[in-house]
Amino acid sequence: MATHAMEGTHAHVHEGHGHDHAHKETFWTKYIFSQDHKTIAKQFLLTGFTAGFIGILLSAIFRLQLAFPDKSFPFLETILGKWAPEGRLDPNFYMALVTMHGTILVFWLLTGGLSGTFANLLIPLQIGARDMASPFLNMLSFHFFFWGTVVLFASFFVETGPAAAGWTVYPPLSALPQAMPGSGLGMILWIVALVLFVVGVLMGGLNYITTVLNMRTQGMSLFRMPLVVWALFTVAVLGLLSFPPAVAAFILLLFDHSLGTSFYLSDIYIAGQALPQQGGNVLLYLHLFWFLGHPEVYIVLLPALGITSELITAHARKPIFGYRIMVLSILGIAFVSFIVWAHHIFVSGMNPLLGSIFTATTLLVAIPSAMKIFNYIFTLWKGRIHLTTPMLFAIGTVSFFISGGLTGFFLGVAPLDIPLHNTYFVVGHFHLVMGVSAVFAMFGGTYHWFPRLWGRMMNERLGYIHFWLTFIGANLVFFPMYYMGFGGVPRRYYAFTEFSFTSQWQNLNVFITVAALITIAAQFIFIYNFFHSMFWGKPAPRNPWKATTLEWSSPVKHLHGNWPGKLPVVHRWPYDYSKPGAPADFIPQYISDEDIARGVRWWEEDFEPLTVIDRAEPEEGEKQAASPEPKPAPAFSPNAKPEEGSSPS
Amino acid sequence: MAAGVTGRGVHPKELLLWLYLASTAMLFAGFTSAYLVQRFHEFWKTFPIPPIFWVNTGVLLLSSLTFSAGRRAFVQGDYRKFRYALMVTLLLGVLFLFGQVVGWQLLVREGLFLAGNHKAVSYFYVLTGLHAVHLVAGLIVMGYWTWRALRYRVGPEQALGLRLAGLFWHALDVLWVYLVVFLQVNQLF
Repeated sequence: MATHAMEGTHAHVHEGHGHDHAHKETFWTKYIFSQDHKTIAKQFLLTGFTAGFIGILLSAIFRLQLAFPDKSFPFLETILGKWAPEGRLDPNFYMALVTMHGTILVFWLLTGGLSGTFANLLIPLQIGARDMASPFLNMLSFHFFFWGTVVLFASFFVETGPAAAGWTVYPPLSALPQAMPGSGLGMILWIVALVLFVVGVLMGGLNYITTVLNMRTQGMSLFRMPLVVWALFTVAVLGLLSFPPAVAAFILLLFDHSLGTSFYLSDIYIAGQALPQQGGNVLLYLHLFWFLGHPEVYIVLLPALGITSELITAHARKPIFGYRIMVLSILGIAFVSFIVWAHHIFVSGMNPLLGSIFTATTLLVAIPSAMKIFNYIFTLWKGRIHLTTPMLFAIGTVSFFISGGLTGFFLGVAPLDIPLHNTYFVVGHFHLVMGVSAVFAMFGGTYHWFPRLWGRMMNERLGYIHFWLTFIGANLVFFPMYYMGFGGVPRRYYAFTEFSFTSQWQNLNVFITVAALITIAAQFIFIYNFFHSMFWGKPAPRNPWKATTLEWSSPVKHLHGNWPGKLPVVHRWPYDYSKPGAPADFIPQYISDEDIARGVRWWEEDFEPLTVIDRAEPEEGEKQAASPEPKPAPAFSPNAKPEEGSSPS
Repeated sequence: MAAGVTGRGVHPKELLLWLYLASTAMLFAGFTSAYLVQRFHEFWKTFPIPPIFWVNTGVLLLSSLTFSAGRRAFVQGDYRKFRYALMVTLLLGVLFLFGQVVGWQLLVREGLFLAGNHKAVSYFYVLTGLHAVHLVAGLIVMGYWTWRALRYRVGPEQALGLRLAGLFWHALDVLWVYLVVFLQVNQLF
């Protein structure tokens, strides 16, 4: 194995000081097979956002169907061909759209996109590392993710269409190709895409954990790490423990689907014909799936809340309220998330005693969640709040987490969940609490760290318009769903005009669809702002938000190894904002008390080399690392002590 | 390693491998807990596991021993012994895989197929098959190191890589012992 791969990376890192790299970088090594964590973050962001926007556009199509089930839209036939004959959406394709919308948004945008982007960008930069523990594995992680994306979208182009059994792909619907068109080849592609996705996410996650544990700079103790790093680290551990059992579930599903086993199948009749499969257990799939499925909620949510912590402190110019409590609540949520999964399947048949146990554990989640919300509000309290775009989105995240989270109490309690479970109440709940709230954090994080990614600022005015349209729009879309849910409107239906009790909700469905279309249209403002700012935005200073964390001490222009001189040394916790008696309202983590005493004016140093970091020479140990990679030892030398040669110095 | 790295004893690559092994453990924990959920079902039937799988177990255990002997020889500087030990390890690994294929053929000859409603058999194929897939990865690693050793391309710098290869190989061994004991115990009652 390439024992020296990492040392090799460091080697050319340091050769690159101040001038361009000695070795030639081609388009392929720089943009496609990059091993630089900052480029990989951009790759995840662009792939995740692209997939996410396609997923959101899919919802526009099925929202049209729900609002106007009897109308014909000829343009749909132009786009979708045989899936919308005479401009009316095919019911099977409606199911496929809902399935793909859920899969793309939950996994591709909010797991791969969110964690992939911000873990790659922030972990090395915020803990003061030159790169990830294994840049090669990091590159591989993105490529698995990318090819998973390709396979997933390829399923739109197969004869029988994409998977259509819902994003949870419950058997027997998903396991029997004859059950519906979407359970044919599309289902196989779905499983393959998911397995590629999980491999990618796990490779990333292994790297994040190792990097956080092993690569922190001097002075960066665990309790001096920014909260977003804590969140991303915890999420990597969650993924490591919960994704593999889901892969086991998918593999058994694939065997049932294509190889004639009957792990999940029993007593099934299709069109009056009994199938031979006997003795399988559908509940087994549900348990294996939701053993991932519930931690997955926090795999989405914790990075979002971590990002929110950074945004709220930096833009309210106040230290986070209760840092250690925040860390403990992250860990608490992560732990509890493993013992609540069965609240997703209260209605699927469960011993009532087990139901009450899972009800109790589910309600426990409220405690650390409420601690986080409390701390956000108290951080804002009497802060000097700068209502920048990132701040607005961060407040939006907290707002949706409250309004969506409170309805979690209803659904966490088995007796209330049973009547509500198959209604729109659940749709409203999870869209607000983990969908929209995490998307808002992702938007906020993008606005906040855009200068770090592309060296330019995004347009604030367009950001405001984007925020307000999305914020009002998302509330108008999802709040009425609670009302519909209480009214008993079932979810997953193709047309509500078939029954009198649901057709009276038709006007509300039209209202939701109009709000959704406006909200989706507002996202084009973001797309425009994003790409326009990437090329023509205002050039960003080194620390545009006057933030304290280490990523803002690295030069605007990206370089391998992140810091041109030595690695910054950390002297304080990450939230020294508005410290009484300090000469500025923020003290970066790399500023020591001696630096303050000798009059370093860090708040004026935006484009110049930073006094404390850039002007320092690389340290002795690093100079050694900077020497070219040693040639492989020519032959085995009998007297050497191999164990010492490879241990980290 | 660059200065400023807070490595405390464990090399990052070694930690990476341990974490990878943890995820593999969770994968097989998922499978075996699924097995346990279904084995008390009325349709569940046991079947005799062909003894060759126990022979294979011995072969794989032996390969772990030969690898350890090889690494010890490497540390002591006995390069000749090191190379032989690696070759024997690789050979035993291939032999194990061959033995597994023979075992599966014996099952097929008994009329015990993957497909159908006989879940104990289905699980047996899935679990042993997935282990075999992992073992192929192990054989690639082992083949790589044997190739390097034969080309005299192993020096003190490779100690870490070699140690990690050994860790992976032993883990495949431990995984197999867990699986075969698990499967056998579940035939008993």
